[in-house]
Amino acid sequence: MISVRWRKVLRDLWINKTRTLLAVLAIAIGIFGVGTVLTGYSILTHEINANFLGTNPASAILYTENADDKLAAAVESLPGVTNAEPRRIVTARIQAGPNEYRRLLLFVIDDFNNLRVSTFKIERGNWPPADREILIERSALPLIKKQIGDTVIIQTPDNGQDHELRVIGIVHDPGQSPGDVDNIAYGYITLNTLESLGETRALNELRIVVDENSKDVPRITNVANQVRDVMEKRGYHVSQVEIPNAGKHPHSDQMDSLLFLLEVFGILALILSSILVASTVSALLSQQIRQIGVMKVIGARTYQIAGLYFGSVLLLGIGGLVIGIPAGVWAGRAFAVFTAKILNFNITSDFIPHWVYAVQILVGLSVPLLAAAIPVYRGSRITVQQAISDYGIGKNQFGTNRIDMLVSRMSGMGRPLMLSLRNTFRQRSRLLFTIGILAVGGATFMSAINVGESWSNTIDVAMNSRHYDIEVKFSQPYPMEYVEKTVLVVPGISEVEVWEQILAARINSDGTDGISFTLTGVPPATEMITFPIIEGRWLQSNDTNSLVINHELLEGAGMKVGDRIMLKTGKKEMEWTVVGAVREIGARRRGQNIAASAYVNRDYLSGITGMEGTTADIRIKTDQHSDAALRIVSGQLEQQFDSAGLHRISVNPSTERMQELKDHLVVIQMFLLLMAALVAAVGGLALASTMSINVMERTREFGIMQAIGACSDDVLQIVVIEGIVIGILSWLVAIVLAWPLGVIIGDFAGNIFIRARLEHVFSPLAMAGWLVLVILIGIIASAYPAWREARLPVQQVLAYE
Amino acid sequence: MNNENLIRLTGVTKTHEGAGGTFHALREVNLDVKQGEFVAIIGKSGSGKSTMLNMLSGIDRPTSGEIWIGDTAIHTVDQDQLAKWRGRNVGVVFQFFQLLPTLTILENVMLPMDFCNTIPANKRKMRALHLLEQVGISEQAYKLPALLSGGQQQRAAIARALANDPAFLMADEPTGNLDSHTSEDILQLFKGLAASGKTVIMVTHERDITQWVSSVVKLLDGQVVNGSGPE
Repeated sequence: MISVRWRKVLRDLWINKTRTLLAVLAIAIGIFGVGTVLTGYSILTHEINANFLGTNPASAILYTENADDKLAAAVESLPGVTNAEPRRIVTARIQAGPNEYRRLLLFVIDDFNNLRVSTFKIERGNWPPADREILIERSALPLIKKQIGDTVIIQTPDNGQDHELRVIGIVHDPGQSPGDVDNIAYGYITLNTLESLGETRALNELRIVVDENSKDVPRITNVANQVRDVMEKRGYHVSQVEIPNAGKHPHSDQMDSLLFLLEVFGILALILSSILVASTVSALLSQQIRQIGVMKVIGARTYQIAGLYFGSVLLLGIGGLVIGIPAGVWAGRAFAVFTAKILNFNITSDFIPHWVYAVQILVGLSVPLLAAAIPVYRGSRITVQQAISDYGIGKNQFGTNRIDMLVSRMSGMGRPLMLSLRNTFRQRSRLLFTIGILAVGGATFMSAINVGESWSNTIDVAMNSRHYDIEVKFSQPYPMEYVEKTVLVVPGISEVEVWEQILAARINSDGTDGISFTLTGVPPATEMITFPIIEGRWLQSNDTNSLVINHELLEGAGMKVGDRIMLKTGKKEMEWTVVGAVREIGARRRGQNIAASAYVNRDYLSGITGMEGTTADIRIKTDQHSDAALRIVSGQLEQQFDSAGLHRISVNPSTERMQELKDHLVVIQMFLLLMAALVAAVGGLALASTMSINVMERTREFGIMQAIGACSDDVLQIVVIEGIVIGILSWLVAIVLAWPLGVIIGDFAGNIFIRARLEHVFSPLAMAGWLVLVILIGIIASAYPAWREARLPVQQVLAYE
Repeated sequence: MNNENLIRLTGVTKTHEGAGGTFHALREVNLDVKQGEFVAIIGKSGSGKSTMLNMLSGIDRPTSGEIWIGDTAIHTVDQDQLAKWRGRNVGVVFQFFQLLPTLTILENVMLPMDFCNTIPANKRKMRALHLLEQVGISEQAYKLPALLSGGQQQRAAIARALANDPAFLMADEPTGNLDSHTSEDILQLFKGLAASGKTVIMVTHERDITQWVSSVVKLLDGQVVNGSGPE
């Protein structure tokens, strides 16, 4: 049987049901935040291994002319090499509609029944594909709108002809970023099929796995260089050695960042809810000061009193856990599913380890206890004399400080409204606490929208530094004049500029291959791009081996203006001088949003590559710039190129790339709004708690008002207006907080996705939206205690002590 | 200390510092109370009655002077030890009863035993029921305080004050919130307790108190103007 004092604890919690519920919900929200993060984290870290690492991703890729199984077998016998497999990736196009094509990465595999590196699995249909059959990665299906049994039309770079292939199966390749997110399709074909598409029958990559998926980059580099030496001794020319991000999924940075943000907001929600618990306990103690005095008079010692209130908090914590743990598990699993979609994963098991529950229980019980420690310490140490002479609300007399005086001088409004305003400022520390929590929720909400708009603005600014509307890449160089003449025939096209683009790789000081990037030759006086200069200068007409690098090479790869670097372009190696650095947002290579790139004088580059007078890369300006207009012109260009016999890899309207970049933020913005909702919920609870305590403390005052003629509606109005005033005050503070918070979160997101700070804007929509929401929260949070108060009989209210 | 004098106050002064200067709640008060006495402390508002009771129950401390209750110099004991001492030795009764509203009458009476651990856990309920019977409200044992009349609540408060079988009962205007008939019942109860050996000290505004008590201490501006102690 439980002792009398614990019966008191239980009944106090039960009698103050609303307050107990608010405190339990507050703790539950904190637990929910932490639980969501831990659940999501535990599932995703497990699934990364089960999915991505399960594909046995390549540690290094060696590019050569003709890799085969014999070479792979020889390389596999080398120390440190676990697996080796020849591959080829062809950048092609797949038709998605009439005159509408999507980029297609074609993975060419010699033996589908002996996949060892970068493996993938059949989900539906048949395996392996026969000649003139293709397997499609599942995430590309929404993009190409095809199903098993359908015929797809593919254009390869070599001959630019339409080729029909039959889709015979859908595969899941966790090593690729989702096609529908990155606007790219993935297909898997045999060598015979490749040959039938008009391409050379050859595999040009040797993919190797080092030490069963080592993440040690120096070790991988060392083994890869040994493999290169062996290959070259055997007569294979290795044009480049690429070390992909060891053991990391292409989108794992995004997942880590989302988890980090989730963690930050989870902890924030927990801290805020703990403050709310501290405030609730503080209110409970101040309401029970006399009871504490009486208990001390009848023999209770300080530790016994403290034990009672810590016990109350412990019970609140248990209540919070009962609600918070299942909710956190549910949300964590949902988050894992959502993230799995971004990463193109399958959730094979949503098992949650025991430590996740243990941490939640520990946090759910200890954090509220810690938060309540100061109020409990103060409340339980009060002397009997102080306790029994406590006069409750009379202690903080309104009108004793400057704010009170200022508020009391406000005039020209109805008396109930004046009363509401003055009441708002009566319990200043409680008011500050409520405004603080609500403001943090509001600032998060506004930041979520601001970051979205800033992102959009950044993309707009970035795309505005590109003055072309359509980007065309041909599968082979064509004479410049012929290309220009062909393009300018299409109605709506105003200007065309010819560029040249090749792949270059830096040669490190020790002779090994360094970072590879796109080298673009442009006329120095180009009007198609005006990227903001970070350092140095743009290209000049007399430049020769001068290089202008983009911010990824500057900040990501550590190149500096003034550096002299050795570059390998094809088989040639030569020295270049970095003369400038520009901010180039939206550079792209194989679906990556942060791509290294550099610009040089086109004529000089053509001289090196021997492509003078020809081009495989053009930029076009049109008269109209809307997405619809560009799609029409692109379609007409496709037809024009067909009739002129120009084979192309891609014809991309700039609006498509812009949308693709903007879509990447949808994930983070949705996520921020979710977090804002979480924090705002704690804010709403804080306001409800404050209003409930305020109303309780003024019970007798309301009785007096009713005794002198106020009706229930008047009481309701006074309390609800007070709730709204607190909401509006918090909104003002939230506006001030929202800007720095938005800048921090925005730049964090910018760094992940485009390695650049955002062009920040403050959205009026965010301000207006939160004002409406916070007023609604104010009304809802104050209406219930006001309604409860207003319906009490006057004699009961007047007798309240 | 004389064995007969269970309570002895020597030169007890209590001052409060306020905006208007130093206020003397008690001035050089000397008082002796013997076991089994029923003492009434009377005086006008502000004369120092409640301050004196608070000193006797260890709720407040003197600015100077000594207070001995039995063998304990309570002016030297710290708050926590005082709480323990008070729980075992002193029963306090308030004007407004101060029963804990979320506990039943029975539980209110059991609570001091719970805090002080003076009575074995399995005997607490029986003792509480016995005390309630002694004060005449055993049939109300399982009700919450809000459902009882003022007189019944004060009887419950007295039962609670007796929970740990203390030697002393201190009551601060225990009849101040009751009608005259109920007040007489309560005073009769105190008289009976004094007769059974408890020392009862009561602050009161009651007229004709002399018929109930064994001695009267009258306070005026913080000083004893007549009483059992030397003046």
